[in-house]
Amino acid sequence: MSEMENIERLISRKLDGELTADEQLVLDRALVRNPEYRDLFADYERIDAECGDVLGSILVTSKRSNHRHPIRVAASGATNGGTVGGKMPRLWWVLPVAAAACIAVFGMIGLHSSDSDNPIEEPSIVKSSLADDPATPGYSPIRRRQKPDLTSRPEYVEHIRPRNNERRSPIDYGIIPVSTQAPRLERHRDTGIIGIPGEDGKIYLIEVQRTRTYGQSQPHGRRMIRNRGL
Amino acid sequence: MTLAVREVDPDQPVVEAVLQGDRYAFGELVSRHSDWVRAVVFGVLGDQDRIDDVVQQVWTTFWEQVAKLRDPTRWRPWLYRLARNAAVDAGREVTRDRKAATVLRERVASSNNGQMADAVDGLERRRMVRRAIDALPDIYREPFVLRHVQDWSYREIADVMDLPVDTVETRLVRARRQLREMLRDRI
Repeated sequence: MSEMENIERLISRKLDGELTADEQLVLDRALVRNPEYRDLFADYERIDAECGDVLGSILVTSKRSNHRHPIRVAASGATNGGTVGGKMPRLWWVLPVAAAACIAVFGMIGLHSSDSDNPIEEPSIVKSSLADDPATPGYSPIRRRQKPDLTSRPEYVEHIRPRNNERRSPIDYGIIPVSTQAPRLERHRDTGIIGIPGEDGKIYLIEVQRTRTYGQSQPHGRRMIRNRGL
Repeated sequence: MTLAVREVDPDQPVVEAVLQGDRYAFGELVSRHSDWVRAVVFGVLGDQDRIDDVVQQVWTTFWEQVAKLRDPTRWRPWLYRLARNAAVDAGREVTRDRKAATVLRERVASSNNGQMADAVDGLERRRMVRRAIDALPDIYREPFVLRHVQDWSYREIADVMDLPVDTVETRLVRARRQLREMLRDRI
């Protein structure tokens, strides 16, 4: 590599911000020593700046015009289809209409459901194998969120066993039901485990089936109404 | 004690989501990397008017074929090749224009009339620069455009183009040398 080629390389690295301190020193000395190198550097610097301006303007102009051409993903396969970025697709009204239809259907189902008067089912009381050993170090049924051994046969705890098979309401267990009459848009049920220290020193696990209602009555949109628990 | 520093690609989770068919992640990927894909397409095609069509085709192909990507960590070179191939295909249709640019390069390079430099105004000068960039060979123009549009380091350009860093540097030096030969007395 001739000296001129080496200086060209150093100038190029300088313009690209890749020059090391040692290379900077070499380049500075060369520029001081030789006016031809200074002209070379001035040419490269000027041309580089012009090219940067031109390329920037070309791609920025083109990018602005690209807003008229959003990336349209071809409909192929189950997950593909639709438009990413840019304007709304032509069938923009389909989604709101479908959402409204879904809300109406869920509303109708909720109004006519057979258990609408008793949205929270009676919890079943389970004495699990974990509850048999309250002396386990560090045992905390709530904090550990460890699943009890539900494969063992559940048995009712004596002091809260229903008498004469009478049907107890959730209020009898300290569970305050929340009215899900309005808004009744969407309901989900799940099961939770609550640990209660008993009078006999044992910890009893109660399996509670909870009903959650998702509504839109609040001004902030989606809101979840929770059971307050015990 | 030595600490191993591992470079983490901030786009990798987005790419993983795209692989799962997440359209919103795909939109995010497009917004993050649209600029350099445009630069690649322009670097190969050199035709400003057709960039939009080709870039759209690139992203559509990416979405349709991303499941075929064997190594998700190598998605950038893969996207680069998609962009480059699409631009090359589109460029075959404008070969005639490219030949005209080559003729212009020769004409510009052979002319030494310094008085013309005083006559051209800013607009004409920009056009001349543009034509000079167009007249560069593809292998020099692509890293040159990426360097100027994205302000990428040699390493970043090399990663995307799947080239050695030294090769990128050499191509940039040669691109500048040819541009200087074409524009030295013009601007």
